[in-house]
Parts: sequence; C-alpha cells; structure tokens
Amino acid sequence: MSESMRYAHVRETDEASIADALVAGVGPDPAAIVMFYGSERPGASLSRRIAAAYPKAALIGCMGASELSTGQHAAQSVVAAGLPRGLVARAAVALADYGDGLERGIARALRELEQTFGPLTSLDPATHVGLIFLDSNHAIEERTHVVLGNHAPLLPFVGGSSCRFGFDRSEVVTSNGAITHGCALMVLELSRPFHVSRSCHFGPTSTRFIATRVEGRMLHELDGRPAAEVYAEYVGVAHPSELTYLNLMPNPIGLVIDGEAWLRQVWPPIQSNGTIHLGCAIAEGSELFFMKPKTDLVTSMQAELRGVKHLLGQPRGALFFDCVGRRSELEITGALDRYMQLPDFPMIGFNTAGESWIGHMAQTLTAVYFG
Amino acid sequence: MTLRALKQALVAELSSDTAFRFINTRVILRTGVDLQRAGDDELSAERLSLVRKELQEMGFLRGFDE
Repeated sequence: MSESMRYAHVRETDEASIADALVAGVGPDPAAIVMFYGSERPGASLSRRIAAAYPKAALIGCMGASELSTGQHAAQSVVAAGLPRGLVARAAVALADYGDGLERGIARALRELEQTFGPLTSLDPATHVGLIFLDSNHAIEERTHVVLGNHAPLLPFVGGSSCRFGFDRSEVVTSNGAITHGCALMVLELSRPFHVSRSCHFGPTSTRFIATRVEGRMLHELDGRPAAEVYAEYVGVAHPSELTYLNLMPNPIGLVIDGEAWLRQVWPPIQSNGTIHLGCAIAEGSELFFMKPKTDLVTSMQAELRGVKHLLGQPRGALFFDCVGRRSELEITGALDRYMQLPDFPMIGFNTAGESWIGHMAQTLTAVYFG
Repeated sequence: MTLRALKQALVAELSSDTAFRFINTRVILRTGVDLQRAGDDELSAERLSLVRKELQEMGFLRGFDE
C-alpha cells in the first residue's frame, strides 16, 4: 500500500478536464482529499465531482489567492492531494455554516465530526489533527478558534483563511457542500508520525508597547497614545496620514509567545482617526513588539525543513498554508521560484489571508507534515 | 486567588509541558497574559478573573478552590 501523499496540480480551465486530471493524480482510494482552487475555477462544482468519484473519502478545501505544490506555484489553478489509508486511519469533515450564528454553526459541525470520532476532547493530539479553512470576509477567525478551543482545547486545528487577491471573496468546501460564511473542518486520525509547524521569519525588536486600548482588530492605543502616532514615529513618517501599506508591511507588530513571533499585520484601510486596523485581534493589555525579519524567507524555509526532517525523516507529504504576504515578499525579492524548489517531497498548499494554529495569525506558514 | 495558584492548578490537570505551552498560547491570545512570565504582582484582579474564566471555558479548573 502506497503511504505517500499523491497529488495533481492542474492548470486546465475546462471543469471535466480538471476533474479527470485531479482523479488521475490523487490516486485510487484515499482516506482523505484536500483541494485548493483559484477564484475563477469552479471549486464548489469540482469538489462535488471529486467527492462523487471518492464516496468513501472525506474531502475538504477552499479558494486560495494562489495554489502551491512541490516546485510549483500558480494562480487560478486547482490542486488536490489524496492522503492514503496507510497514513490516515480515520477522517471526517463538516461544514460550519455561520448563517444563523457562529456558535450554532460550529456546534452542528462538531456534532457531525463526533459521529465518527466520539468526543473530540478524548482524542490524543499525538495521533489526531484537525484542518480548518475559514472565510476571510467576516472576521470570524478569532472567535472560531475560541469556540473550538473551548470544546477541545488540546486538539490542534491547522489551516488558513480562504481568499482571492483583492480579499473580497472566499469559499470553503467539504464533501457536503460549499459556503462563504463559516469554516470547513476536517479531523484526521493518523497512523504515522506527523508534525504541525508554524514558521515566521520575523523576530521581535527591542521596541515594545502595551496595547492599552483595543477592540478586536482595532488597535486604538499603545501605551496610552493613539496607535497610529506610535506607528508613524516608529516607521519615521511625520504624520499618521503618511502611513501606507508599503511602509507598514515591513514593520509589523505582534506578540511573542514561547519566544516566537505571532504577527498582527495591518489590514486595509490601515488606519483611521489614530486607530490602526489589524488583520488579527489583540487582547487588551497584551505586550506587543515591533518586528523585523531575522532572515530571508528562503533561509527560513531551509531551516524549517531541516527541523522537520530531523523529526520525521523525509516527509511522505505536507500541506502548506502560506500567507499571501510572504508570497508578495518572495515576488518582490525575486526568490519565489527558489523558495518553491525547497520542499523535495509531495506538498500542496495555498496562499492564505491569515493562518491558523491554535489561533489566527499573519505572515506565517502553518503546515502539517506527514512522516 | 493568585496567578501562581491558577498556574499550579492548570499544570496539575495537564499531562505534559507541551500541553501546558499549548494552553498557555490560547490564554495569551485571549487575555494577553503569559502564564509562564506574569508574576502575581503584575495582574489586576480583573485580568486574573479573565484568565480564570477563559481556562474554565476550556474545561479546566472546574474544581478550582480560591
């Protein structure tokens, strides 16, 4: 029995051709299927076709800003991977539709998952992992992770926020359908070792503040002063009105947890009336640091993969949820192709509008590696 | 109630340091309080109550006795 992840990365535009190519690439009998697609591809319809072709597999996926696979990156493509039964003992999926409220949607989804797994609180995190893809248009990520964490605090859900360039649309899918407001969840019981990773090439500077007034993603004050004034001083502009995405993106602010940077990157419209708009929420009273790159993204990925291989040996597959901000940095520095050549094992992924693992974060790679 | 007592009670319920750091990450994201770094003198009663509430919502400290 093949125990490596199989995948296909398809740039066709005809739906039937895409579906045929995905089926040919995914393999005969996967336990689980993960797929990502560009906004101009018929993702929901494709997911129904693929789910119909594999009635015994659990399928999860979402729209992405661009799609990734070993050595490849492309916008407006479709990528799908099959996780074989030698890797996955059990898999289940559920769509959490937030149409009648976040808590209700998640409660329904959790009941569905627990039909397969029993209480999620009883699952051993050494052998179980969750995948999560969320819509990025309703600021749901933080509350979703709180509700999931209240239900099963030790079970990691890894993934990212669906989007397309422009960040005005997102969509998540499972075997059971597609939604634009909510999240898609998968729980996997794995038969072989695996590793969940988050990788961020930024580290804290010595410039720190306390978030003295915050409302969710709206950072009003740092150390009692309007946040935009503090940012303007830090990046070296005379007035907050001169703050732009270009001078803010290289100077993100974030938390430090266990010595690692958890970025809270700015988000359009960036600032208004002294308030900085972030893509991720902050708790009032948090200690925040301005961050700077510790190294470049290629060097960071090389270190990441060395660490993974030290733990697992050569991975049999991986799922990457890589921030669209990192992709932009790679494009600007001309390093995207070199970066994409680094994973020398089966990998698929997508470029995200925010990443997930325990909580919501920015400008990070979250990943699951299968050993 | 002290932060030290909350932390000790949480550690007693968890099976490993890895699990503690995982839950501590949740606490930091929700409250801004780092259980590994914050001292008892640094937290207001309000923030301490918030930490306790979040841990209890995760299912911990159910039998916690002040």
